[in-house]
Amino acid sequence: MRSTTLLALLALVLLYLVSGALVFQALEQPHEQQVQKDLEDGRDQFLKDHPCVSQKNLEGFIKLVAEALGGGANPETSWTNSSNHSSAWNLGSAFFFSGTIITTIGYGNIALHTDAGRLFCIFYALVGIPLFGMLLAGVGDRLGSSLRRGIGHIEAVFLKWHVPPGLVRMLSAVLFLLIGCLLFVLTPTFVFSYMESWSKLEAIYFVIVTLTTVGFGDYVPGDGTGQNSPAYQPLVWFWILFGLAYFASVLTTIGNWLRAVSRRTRAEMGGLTAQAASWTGTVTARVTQRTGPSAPPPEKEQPLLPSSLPAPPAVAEPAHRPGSPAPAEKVETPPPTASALDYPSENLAFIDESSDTQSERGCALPRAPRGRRRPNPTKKPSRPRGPGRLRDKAVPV
Amino acid sequence: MPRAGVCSCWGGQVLPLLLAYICYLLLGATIFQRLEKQAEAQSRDQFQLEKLRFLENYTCLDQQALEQFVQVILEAWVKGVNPKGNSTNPSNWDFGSSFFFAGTVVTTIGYGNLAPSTEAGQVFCVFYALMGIPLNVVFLNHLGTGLRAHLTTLDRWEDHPRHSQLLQVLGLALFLTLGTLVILIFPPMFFSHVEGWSFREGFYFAFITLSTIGFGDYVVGTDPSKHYIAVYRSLAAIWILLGLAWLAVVLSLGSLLLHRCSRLWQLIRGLDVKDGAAPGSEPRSQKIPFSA
Repeated sequence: MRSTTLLALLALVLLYLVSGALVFQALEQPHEQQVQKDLEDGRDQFLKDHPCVSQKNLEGFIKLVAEALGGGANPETSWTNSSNHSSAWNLGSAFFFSGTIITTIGYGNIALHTDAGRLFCIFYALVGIPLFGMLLAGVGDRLGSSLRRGIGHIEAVFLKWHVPPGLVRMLSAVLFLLIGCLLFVLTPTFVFSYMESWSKLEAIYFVIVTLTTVGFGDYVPGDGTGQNSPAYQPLVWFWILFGLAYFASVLTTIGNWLRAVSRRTRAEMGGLTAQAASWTGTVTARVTQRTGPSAPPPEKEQPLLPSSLPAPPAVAEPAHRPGSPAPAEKVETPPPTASALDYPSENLAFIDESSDTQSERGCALPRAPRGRRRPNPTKKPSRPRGPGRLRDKAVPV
Repeated sequence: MPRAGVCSCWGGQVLPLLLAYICYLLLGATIFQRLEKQAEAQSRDQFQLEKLRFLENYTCLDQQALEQFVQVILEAWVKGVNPKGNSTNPSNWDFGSSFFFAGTVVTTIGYGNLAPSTEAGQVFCVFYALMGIPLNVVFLNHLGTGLRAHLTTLDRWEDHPRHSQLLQVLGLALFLTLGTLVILIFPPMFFSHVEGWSFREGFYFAFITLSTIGFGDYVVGTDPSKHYIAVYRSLAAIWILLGLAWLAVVLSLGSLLLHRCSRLWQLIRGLDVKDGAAPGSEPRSQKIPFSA
C-alpha cells in the first residue's frame, strides 16, 4: 500500500512539473524572444551610429557590463556621481539579506562574492534556519490562538442561529482563510503597490513569492528609489515573520485537503455501491469535521513549512494515521474511525502545550512527570522537534 | 491559576525567541557587510575604470550614447536574457529549462535568475506555487518514510544485546556516510567539473540549493558558452529531489537520537529521585495535576 502510494505521488509530482513546465514555456518564451530581438536591434543600431567601434570590442564591453551586473555593481551610475551610489551592503541591506537567508527566501538580488562570505553564509544558515523555525512556532501559536478565539465567537453566534455543526466548521475554516488573506496578503499588496510603484498584480505576485519562500528576486522591496523611511525595511520584516506563520498554516491546510481528496477517491473506488455510498457520507462528514480542527493543528506545524526540509517529518505523523484507519473502514463501523482520526491531533495539541509549560518553568518538580507520559507512543514525535533541528542541520556538513 | 501560568509561559517563550532572532539578524548583517562591502566597491571601481578606458579608445562615442547602450543591456539582463553571445543562445524557456524552473518553484528554491515576466506567467506562477508546494511536501514526506523504512530496526535498540546494538550503530553510520557522499560530496564535484567552478563554489551551490535558500548566483546549466546534454538539468532536478528527501530522513534520525538522549537523562533523574525517599513523595503528589 505504501509503495503504491509513493509511486502514485511520484507520478503526480512529475505530472505536475511537466504540466507547469509546458505552461511556463508557452507563456514566457515569446516574450523572451522579443527581448532578445530588441537587444540585438539595440546593438546593431549602436554600431551603426558609432562606426569607430568594432564588433569585437563591443562584444568585450558587453561582457564587461554583464560581469559587473553579476557582481552586483550598478553599471548605470557614471563616475561623476559614483560617490552618491548607495551600497548594496550597507547595514539595512545586509540586515535584509541576513533575513532572506534564515527564512530561506533568498532573493538573490545581491550575492556573496568572497570565499569568507560564502563560508560564513553556510554556517550562518545552518544555525539560523532552525532558530527562525522555533521563533515561527512561537509566533504561530500566538497568532493561531488569537484567530481561533475570534472565530470561536463567530461560531457561537452561528450555533445560536441553529446552523448545523458541520456547516459551522466549514464556515470557520473559510473565515480563517479570509481573515488571514485580508491581513497578510491584500493589505500588504496595497502597501507595496503604493510604496514601490508596482501594479496590483506585481505586488500580489511579490507577496506570494515571498511568503511561500520561493523568492525569485525580480521584485524586492527597497530596491527602487532611496526615499523610503528607515522604518520601512524593519516593517517588511515583521510582515514577513507573521505572514510566514500564516502561510505555513495555509499550505498545511491545502496539503490536508489533498490528502482528504485522495482518501475519498480510494474509498469510492474500493467499495461496493452500497458501501461506497455510506463511506462517501462518512468521508464527507470527516472532511467537514476536518475543516474545523484543520485550523488549529496547522499552527503546530507552521515552523516546519518555511524551511521545507523539516516539513516532511511533521507531515509523516498525519500520513501514518490515515493509513491505519484505512483497513478499519472496511472492517469496523465508521464512527470509531472518525473519532480515531480526530483524537491524535487534539492529543498532539495537548502535548505541545504541556511540554511548553514544563520547559518554560524549568524547575525539577514539573520535569519528573514527563517520565510517565513517554510510554505513550503518540507523544514521542512531537517532543524533539525543537532541539532536534539544531543538530540535524549540522549533520549534512 | 494554571491557565494564567500557561499564558504567561507562552508569552515568555516568544519574547526570548524574538530577541534571539533580532540579535542573530543584526550579527549576520554586520558580518556580511564587513565581508562583502569591500569586494563590491572594488568591483564598481573596476567597472568605472574599464568604461573610461573604453571611451578614451573610441573618440566617436560620447558619454550619453554609452549610458544609453548600457541601459539597453541592463533591461535585457533584468528580463533574463543573457547579453553575452547572440541569438543562437539556448532559450531560457525551452522545455528542459521550464521543467527545471517549475521544480524550483514547488521546492521553494527559487533561484531568481529566471522569473516570469509576462502578467499571465506571474498569475499562473502564484496558483501553481500554492498548489505545488503542499504537493511537494506530501511527496517528500512519503519518500522520506520509504527511506526510513530500511532503518526501522533502529527503534529496537534497547531490546537487542550489545552485539546487535553495535551493528545498528555501524549501519546508521554507514547510512549517513553514504548519504553524505552521494548527496553532498559527489554532486558538487560533478557540478564543479561540468560548470568550471571550484569545489568550494560547487559545494556552496549545493548547500544553497538543498537548504532552499536559492540565491541564484550559481545555477547549473546557464552558461551560454557551454553545450549541455539534454538530460543535464533533469539530472540536477532529480538530485535536488533525492537530496531534500535524504535531509528529511537525517532530520528525523536526529530527532530520534535526541529523544533517546532525553529519555536516558530522564531515567538518570528518576534514579536520583528514588534515592531520596522524603523528596520523592512531594513530586509524586504534584505529578497528578500536571498529567490531568
